[in-house]
Amino acid sequence: MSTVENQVPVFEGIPSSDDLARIADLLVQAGLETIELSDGKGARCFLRVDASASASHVPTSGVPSAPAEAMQTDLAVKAPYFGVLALTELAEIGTLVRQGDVVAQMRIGTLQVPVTVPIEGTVVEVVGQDGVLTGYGAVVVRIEPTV
Amino acid sequence: MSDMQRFKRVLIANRGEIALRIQRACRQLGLETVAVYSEADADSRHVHEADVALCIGPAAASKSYLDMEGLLLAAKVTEAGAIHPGYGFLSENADFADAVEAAGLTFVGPTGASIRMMGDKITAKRAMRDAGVPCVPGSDGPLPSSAEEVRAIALEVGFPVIVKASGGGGGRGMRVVHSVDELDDAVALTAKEAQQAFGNPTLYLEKYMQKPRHVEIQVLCDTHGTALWLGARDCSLQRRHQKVLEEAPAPGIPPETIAEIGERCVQACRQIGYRGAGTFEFLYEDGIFAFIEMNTRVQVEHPITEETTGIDIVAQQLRVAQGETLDLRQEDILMQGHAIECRLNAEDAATFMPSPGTVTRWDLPGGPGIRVDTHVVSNYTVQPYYDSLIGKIISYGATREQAIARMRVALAEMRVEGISTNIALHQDLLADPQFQEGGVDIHYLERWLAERSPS
Repeated sequence: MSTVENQVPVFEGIPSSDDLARIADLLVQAGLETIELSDGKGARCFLRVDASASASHVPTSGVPSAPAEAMQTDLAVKAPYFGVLALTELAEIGTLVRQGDVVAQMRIGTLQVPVTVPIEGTVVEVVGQDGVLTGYGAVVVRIEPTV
Repeated sequence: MSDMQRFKRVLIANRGEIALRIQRACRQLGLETVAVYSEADADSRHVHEADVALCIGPAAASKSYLDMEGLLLAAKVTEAGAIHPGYGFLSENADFADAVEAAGLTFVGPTGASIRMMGDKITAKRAMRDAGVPCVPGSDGPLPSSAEEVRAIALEVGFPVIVKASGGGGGRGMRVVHSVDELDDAVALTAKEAQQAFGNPTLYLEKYMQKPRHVEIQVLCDTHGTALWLGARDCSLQRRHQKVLEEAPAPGIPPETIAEIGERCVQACRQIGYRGAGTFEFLYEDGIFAFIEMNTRVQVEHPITEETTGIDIVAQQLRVAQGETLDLRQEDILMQGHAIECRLNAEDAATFMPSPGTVTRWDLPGGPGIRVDTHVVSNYTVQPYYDSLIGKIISYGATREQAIARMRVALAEMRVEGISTNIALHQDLLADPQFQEGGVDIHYLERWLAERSPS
């Protein structure tokens, strides 16, 4: 299976408009909606392709005509308590989550503390690992808030 | 350790240097450790080195190190079999000790009942008096409500007297009264403050000793009837009731005198069924010892006793908690040489205000007789949320003079940059002729500071 990431240019600062367009094309071809690029120094770039718009419009020029949104600020959804992390079915990249949705439970024996989403958005990264002892304040998922 | 271990994994419910100290003792005994920490302490040394590390809450101690329910849940989820509370935080909270044991875990410390008894100053004093531990003359119980009766007690004890809240401690909830005219107002005011601060207006009254020293006896007891005393420490150098520099033994007090007091302390321990490490604090003036309170935990200054006796107090706490019998007899305990501890605080040298920040340089002293207990490493950030203790330098020598000389070299070698510390204060103190002579009283440091300040 050909993966998108090995065709995506190396992330070193904000990609050029040509690169953005190319990445957007790759996403559409792969049937993906979002991608996160990071450089390991804390800089991140999110791209989201509007599925309805891109379905019929595959850009061929260097101009990113697909509505790819660069440098979106994402939001970390953190564990409100410690425990063994149990992800729910909503903790999946691309899932649209609403305020109050539960993306995971922190379990200690029979005690369960829900990890809820503070604001509507799309899951762009699942950071927490299912079944792993996880501390207070650990990032469980990242969401890109709905604009 | 025997095969009959009660626990194999210890949750350390503390932070900073004492968390690291406990972790070291656990490691030496082959016990696994669980470091629970607040978000602010994620980069702490013992957290990195623990077998299991778990962030249990935000920086606020009430939601992390003081959160009883959270700590018990953390012990459950990490499968710890014991909780070591260290000092401060929940170490002297009887309800916590009870809750730990009720959850089927081992509390590394005395029973909740012992902690409760010693936490109430009136009960503690009564128990000590019954056990033959010398106490300061006083009301021998709660003050009566009749002002006339209070006056009669104070006159019999003799002025000056000190009026104290039964639920108080650490220098709070007390007032010195110099004459009978001031008594009624002082009692009323202290009762009101005690009600506000501790939820308990009960007061007692004692003879106010004017120039006492603070001398304390370390004890160690198992659950099989062995109770040992490990000598005395002099902790008279205090500022605002906070100890600054401690030494063992107490200069100028004959070993026979200490032995007699030590024997009474361990007798009291046997009577109340005390287990683990503990400290009897006394005021000492004109050859008279007067019990103030018992600390039912390991103390900050425990290393100086470790140095003079060769006994690892924290390891012994863990052994006792396992239910082991102390393999020591009183006659085997030799108190040799002299040890001094300088508490290093991240604080402004002039104002004593905390000085949090990132430590950019941290060069430690060394050489014979020097021990440093600290959690700080280079680039560590001293947090503003907790107390300012960043470490302890302990010097040991065959004589007091040698211990002082070694400490002076150690302090001169220590290099700290990025934050302010009280190292210079320790250097000045060690050079002070009165200190060098030994035996200063508990007010000495504050007088000395007042005299040298320009204001």
